[in-house]
Formats: sequence, C-alpha cells, structure tokens
Amino acid sequence: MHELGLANGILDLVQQYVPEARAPQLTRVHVRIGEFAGVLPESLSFCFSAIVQGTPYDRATLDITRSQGREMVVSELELEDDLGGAEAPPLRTPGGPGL
Amino acid sequence: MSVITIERKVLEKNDDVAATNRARFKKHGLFVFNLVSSPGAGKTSLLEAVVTRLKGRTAIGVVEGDVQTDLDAQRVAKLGVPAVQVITRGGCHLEAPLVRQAIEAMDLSKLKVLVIENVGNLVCPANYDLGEALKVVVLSTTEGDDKPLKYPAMFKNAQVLVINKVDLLPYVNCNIEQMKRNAREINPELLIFETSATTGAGIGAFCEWICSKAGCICA
Repeated sequence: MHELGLANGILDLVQQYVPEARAPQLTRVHVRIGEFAGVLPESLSFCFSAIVQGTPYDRATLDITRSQGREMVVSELELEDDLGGAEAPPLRTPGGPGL
Repeated sequence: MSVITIERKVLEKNDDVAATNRARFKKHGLFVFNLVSSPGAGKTSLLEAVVTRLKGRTAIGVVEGDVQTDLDAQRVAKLGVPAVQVITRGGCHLEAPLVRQAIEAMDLSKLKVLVIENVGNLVCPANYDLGEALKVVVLSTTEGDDKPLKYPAMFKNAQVLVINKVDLLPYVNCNIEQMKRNAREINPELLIFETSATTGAGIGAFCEWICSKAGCICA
C-alpha cells in the first residue's frame, strides 16, 4: 500500500521543521492531495497515525484537502504555542539554524 | 497556536532522485519510457516483441521491476539485450532511487533506448516519477473497455496507450472503440496503438514511434 510510503514522506518533511522536543506541540499537518494522485485520504491518515504512534509526534493528525490535478503537498504545520512552561527549542528551517 | 507554511511536495525526495536520473539519461541522449499496466496485460511479452524487432536497429536496454523473481529480466536478457532486475520484495511500484541503483549496473553510453518495465499495478506507479520521458500504459482487451474510467490517474498521467491482445477481440466482451473513447475521455492527448504481442500485429507501428523518439531509423 503506497500510502504508507507517502506517510513516511510526510513525517520526514515534518521532522525537517519540528524537532522531537517540540513534537508534542504539533497537532495538525495540512496536506493537499490532488484528485488524480491515486491516494485514498482515509488510508493516508490511517498510515500516518500508525507510524507516529508511540513517537513524540503522536499528537499530530493529517488534515487532508482535496485539490485538482495530481499534487501531493504538505502545505502547513499547526502547532500549539504552550509547552507547559518549558523553554521551547527553536523550530528548524531546513538549511538554517531555526525559526 | 502557530501555523507554519511549508508547501513541500510529499514525494520531494523521490522527485529529486528522478531529476538526477533524468539528467543522466539526457547526458547519454537516451529515450526512456516507463511501461506500466495491470499484472497480466502483456507488458513483458510486448517488450519481447519490441526488443526482437528493434535490437538490430538500435541499442535497447531494460530495467525490470517485479515484486519477486527475476523471471522477466531473464526473458528479456535471452534476447541479447542488457536487462537489470529490480525486486521490490512487496513494494507495489518502482521508485526513482531503485531505478538509480539499477542503472548503476548498466553502461548507458552504449544505449539509445531504455525501457523501465514497472511492477504490474495500475494505481501506484502513476505517482512516481522515475526520470522517464513519458509513461506508456498497456491495457489488454481482456481487461474490459471501461478500465480507463476506473483508473483515471494512470491514463491521465500517461502519454501513450498500447491496447494489447487485440487478437483476442473475437473472444472477449470488449468494444475497442469504446475503450479508446473512454481513454480519450480521461486524456484527450493520448497516442494510442493497437497490438498483439502474440501475432505481431501493430508492433511495427509502435516500434516506429519508439524509433522516432529515439532518433534512430527503424526500417
């Protein structure tokens, strides 16, 4: 089932921006899936939930929007601001030190 | 709450490797196509017919993708052309890194045409760029004329449709004209060939097209 591979691709992108120490803040990963991408959103959500289970990212769920064409894009990451008083390490900018 | 906009492609890693593959193919002046279909549509038999016809006229190589066994690579290699087998061990499609690995085992400088025969699957391979110039989808007359409507992503993403097993038309419930209409409803730009890998019907025309893309003489 290639949705599993796609879910891993999504997690890989997420980890480029959100280090593990801030992963509990990540609540939603917004994804656009084109109607001709041949992807079942329910399967993709299921696979993502399965691969983050038991990891620091396990609060995150996919928010999938259907779009035109065959795109598969991670558009936005949604994070809660509060880490319960803990000092938050910086988010990552791929190629840079942090946001 | 914070929202970070990232706008990154899910298959970015694959696409980066595909671009590298594509650059490598371009460097060697190769025409590369990705042959896709359901299991049993006749991809390998079609490839055997094409290789048999073209091997004296152009240098052709093959990357074979299968879940298990190297039977298809053996079939093609018997015809005297370089063939590398990729065994996915459960993977339902080829991905660009697998193709990159396969072409490491080939001397691309000696080839004019490279055919990547994908794992038999009419769904997943549609999403994965391997570095090819285009996708050729094979559909057999035994699969039903409504197949393009049921699997639109693949027919939308291909540039060429080969309707195979036309010799079986008298024995199957398939209206080939309706099949072509359905395919063009999904993708009006599809170039369509009708072939029988068994009888040889239509193979010449398909080979002429390959040669025209590869810049070689097919006669």
